[in-house]
Amino acid sequence: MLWIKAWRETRMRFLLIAAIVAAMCAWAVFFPQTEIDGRHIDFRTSVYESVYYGKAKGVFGILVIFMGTGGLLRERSLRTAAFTLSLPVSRLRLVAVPVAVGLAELAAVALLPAMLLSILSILVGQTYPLSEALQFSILWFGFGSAIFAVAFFFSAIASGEFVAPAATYLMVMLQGYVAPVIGIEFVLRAMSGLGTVYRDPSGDVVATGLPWASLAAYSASALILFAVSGLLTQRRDF
Amino acid sequence: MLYLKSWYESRIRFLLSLIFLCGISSAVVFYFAYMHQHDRLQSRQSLDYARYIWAMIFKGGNSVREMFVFIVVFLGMGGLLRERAHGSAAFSLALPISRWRFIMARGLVGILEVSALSCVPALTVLALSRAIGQSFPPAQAIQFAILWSTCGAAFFAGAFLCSALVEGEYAAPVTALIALAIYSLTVNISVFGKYPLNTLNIHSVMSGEGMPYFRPEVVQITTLPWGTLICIFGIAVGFLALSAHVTQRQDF
Repeated sequence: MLWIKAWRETRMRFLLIAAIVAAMCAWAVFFPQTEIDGRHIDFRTSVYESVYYGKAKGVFGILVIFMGTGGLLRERSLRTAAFTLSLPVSRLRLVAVPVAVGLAELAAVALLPAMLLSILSILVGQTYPLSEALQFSILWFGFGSAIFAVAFFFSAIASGEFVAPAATYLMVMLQGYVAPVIGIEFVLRAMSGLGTVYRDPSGDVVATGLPWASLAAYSASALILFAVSGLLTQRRDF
Repeated sequence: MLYLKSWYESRIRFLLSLIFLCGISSAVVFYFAYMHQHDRLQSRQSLDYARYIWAMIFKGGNSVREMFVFIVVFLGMGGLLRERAHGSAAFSLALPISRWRFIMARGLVGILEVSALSCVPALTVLALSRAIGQSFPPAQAIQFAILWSTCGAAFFAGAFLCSALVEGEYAAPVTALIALAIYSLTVNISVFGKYPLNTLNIHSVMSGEGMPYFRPEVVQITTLPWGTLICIFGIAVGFLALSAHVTQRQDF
């Protein structure tokens, strides 16, 4: 039942986000660019520029924030926390189930472009390799889960309706400024695969492999944030 | 009383936004001084202070302007649908005023808050530039503040309309951001370059980029596009009126 509750609470957001990502993928396939800055580009590069490098990735990166928001503190503001807390389940489970549902939704949205691009490309007589698209799905899920975890953590410590999304957005933007200085990957840049799945010194697209170390580090950070959120929720007086 | 109610409902968001915009604008100014001090600008001789400020604050692409737009979308969240979710709609509806007035008061307070916020980066740059031994033309700062104020009002009103239409936890801001993304993509399509709609690319109007009133070689606004600004403000008022109309017909 907790699973259905978590799904019903987030399905509107999930469906909206999935719809916009799907629409942007369809746009990239049906209306491909033919040149960028005077340089002729092929279909594959055009899709990469529109979906994985540019707008779709940016929209996904920002909207992931809203997939991680919610939790018992928000329920307290909406006066439904008492009902949820009276269910015969531990608080840890009350935290774990929304995390699992959220991550499943995140995985679904991350996989959506891979599925759509491969199928829709055939309709316009082109191909976009599924293996390549799946690598980006891994990047979107891996680095997106870190943004999701930050939003979830802020939801566990702040009850204000817009505090968690605003604070998460702020953190993501600040990371963009701080990351190059301290030598770590900026999440939104890492999702593009720049310097990892792709490097582009002369305009050519060359696969170099997934950044497993960064992915593992960000996933571990996300797990820590989930654990801290669970602990804080367990100790809080509602 | 309605204005006070609207202010109380949004003041935390407004004050946090004000602090954030002030902080990030200050950081941008002091980062220039830091780079200058450590000779990080030697390889980019052409990057003068005015160009740096325009690129980092007023232009776009991970700049303060984009953060301002994001903030304005959050400020736009409000209205009776949101109150119903919080269980306070019955109280507001019991007040002896029309729903139209209720929405207009919230809209007016929001637009005033957006106007105040749009002045923050400009004023911060003006105030702090002297502290690092640089200067930014006050006329330019004021003109950018006017552009942001008007365009911000349109973004605010659009977000406000979304929160009047869509119910559900975080569904309204998500819808508003999606609408913003769709709008931003649509106006950037080269097809529209031939039509007057291009002048209603609110992002470009705010930054001046590619606009006839902006001289990129000296990074200066020559004259404010009053016609475009009136059009954009008219759109904002239209969105607010539509929000009021939708709210009047809703069943609470």
